[in-house]
Amino acid sequence: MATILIIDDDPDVVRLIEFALRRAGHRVLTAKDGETGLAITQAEHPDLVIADVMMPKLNGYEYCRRVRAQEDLADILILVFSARFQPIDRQTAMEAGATDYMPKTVEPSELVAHVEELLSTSPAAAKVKAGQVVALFSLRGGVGVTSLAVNLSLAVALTRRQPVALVDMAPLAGHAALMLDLRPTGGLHKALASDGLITAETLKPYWQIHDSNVQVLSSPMSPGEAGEVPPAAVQPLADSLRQTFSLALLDLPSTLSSSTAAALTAADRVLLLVTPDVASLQSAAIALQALNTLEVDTGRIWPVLNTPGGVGGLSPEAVSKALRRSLVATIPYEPGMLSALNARRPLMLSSPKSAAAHAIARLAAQLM
Amino acid sequence: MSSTLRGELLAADFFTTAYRMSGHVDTGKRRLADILSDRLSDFLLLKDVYVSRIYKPGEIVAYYQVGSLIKERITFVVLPTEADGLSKDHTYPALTRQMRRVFITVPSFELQGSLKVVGKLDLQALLATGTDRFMPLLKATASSSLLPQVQFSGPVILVNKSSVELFCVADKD
Repeated sequence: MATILIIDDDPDVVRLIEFALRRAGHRVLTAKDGETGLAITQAEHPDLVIADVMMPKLNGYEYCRRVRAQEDLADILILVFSARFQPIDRQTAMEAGATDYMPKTVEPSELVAHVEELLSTSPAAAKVKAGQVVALFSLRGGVGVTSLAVNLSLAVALTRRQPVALVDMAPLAGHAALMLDLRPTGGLHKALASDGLITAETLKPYWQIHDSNVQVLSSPMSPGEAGEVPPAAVQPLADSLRQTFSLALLDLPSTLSSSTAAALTAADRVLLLVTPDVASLQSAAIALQALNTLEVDTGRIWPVLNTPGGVGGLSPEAVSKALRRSLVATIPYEPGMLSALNARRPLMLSSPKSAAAHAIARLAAQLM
Repeated sequence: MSSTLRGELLAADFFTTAYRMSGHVDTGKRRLADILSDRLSDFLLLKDVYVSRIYKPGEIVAYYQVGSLIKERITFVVLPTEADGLSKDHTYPALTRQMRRVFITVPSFELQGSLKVVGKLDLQALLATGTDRFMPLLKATASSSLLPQVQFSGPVILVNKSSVELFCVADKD
């Protein structure tokens, strides 16, 4: 799944391409002119941009030039898609910095096939093929980071029938194992303590395997074993996870320690959780600043709105506007969440047909 | 995709002696060839007009939401699909219709393509009589006379008959 931005002033074209790309499993953003497109590109860092040439304010060629002038946007693929279909138009687009060019005379299915081909050759795609590491994070505690991590891992493991790694990075008493009715053994810390070397092989004895095929590296229960994962061990851990799993989820504590910073940097994506209240919004804004300082590409950061309370929360639109970022997913309020936690049967197992479970399943599909 | 997606709006490239103008024409239920030949109006209304100079035809130097083009000053029009360029008359099958390769010069451009002719090709009848202001060249290419490497191709190019300077017909195969 990739994040794709469509920039076109024709709403019919946008609608048609958006539909085809969403159906292919991609996250799609849209802009109706080059200027807005450039602003979204800078904020969201999409994997690929489909840009029309003939657009008001900033035409497609000028858009390409401005993107290419910014070093941090250099890896973005730009497919120029235009009603101007002459060889000179292709040449002009390529000289302006486009990755490729397609005339608008093609069918949407051809366009999607070409997009997939371009994505498959990109460095980002190579990373995804090797397995992706996704960090779940919030600077405010109690927003549902662990619940989402557990339910997301279940959603992928159950639908894809493949093992998913869930790594509890909390220094003590992480609750990921508990929610899955597993006894926390502190597997991650034990693996680090054994000889300090982290490889797929050295991690093997410490995985706790849930019936669903979610495999957990839990944090310790005993204060004596507690401690942060050493920052230097985080990158080898992420590399080992990529080797073994197509998806690994890091359940991060709500502090910005050097260990958390290392995990945020090493992850392929960061799911930034926010709840619809001003305190959470403030924390999310600070987290975004921190991620920016850590030079985590904005395209790798996926804001997710979780709604643990019933009424009175800010609307998703207000949250999105305040963060100046579009939300990748909104998890609606689910009254059964607490009983699912107490029964140690997460929502994906206890209420798989609930609206919240559906939203989590959709997010899982987007991730994969 | 554009012509179907834009409903009745047809995307095309219009050329004059010095400019290339890309834009959309609201064709309604009619064909562009018929609209161009309609003598009741000397102007063609374009939407979303992007202007390029002919010596640098890829670069866009101006954009306007609407523009009026004087039909008589259009030297030729490059269209994305054949059906968009043929007038109603040209779409009827004729047993005696044959394809002839032609070479035409218009100001600043050389055009090559195939012309559908019925019976013997009569240049007088083709260029000087009849109500059609433009004639369709199929599988056609226009090359800039100053920059021959700059070419525009399309399944159909509509050529303004009054812009034709030289008209040559290849021998039959």
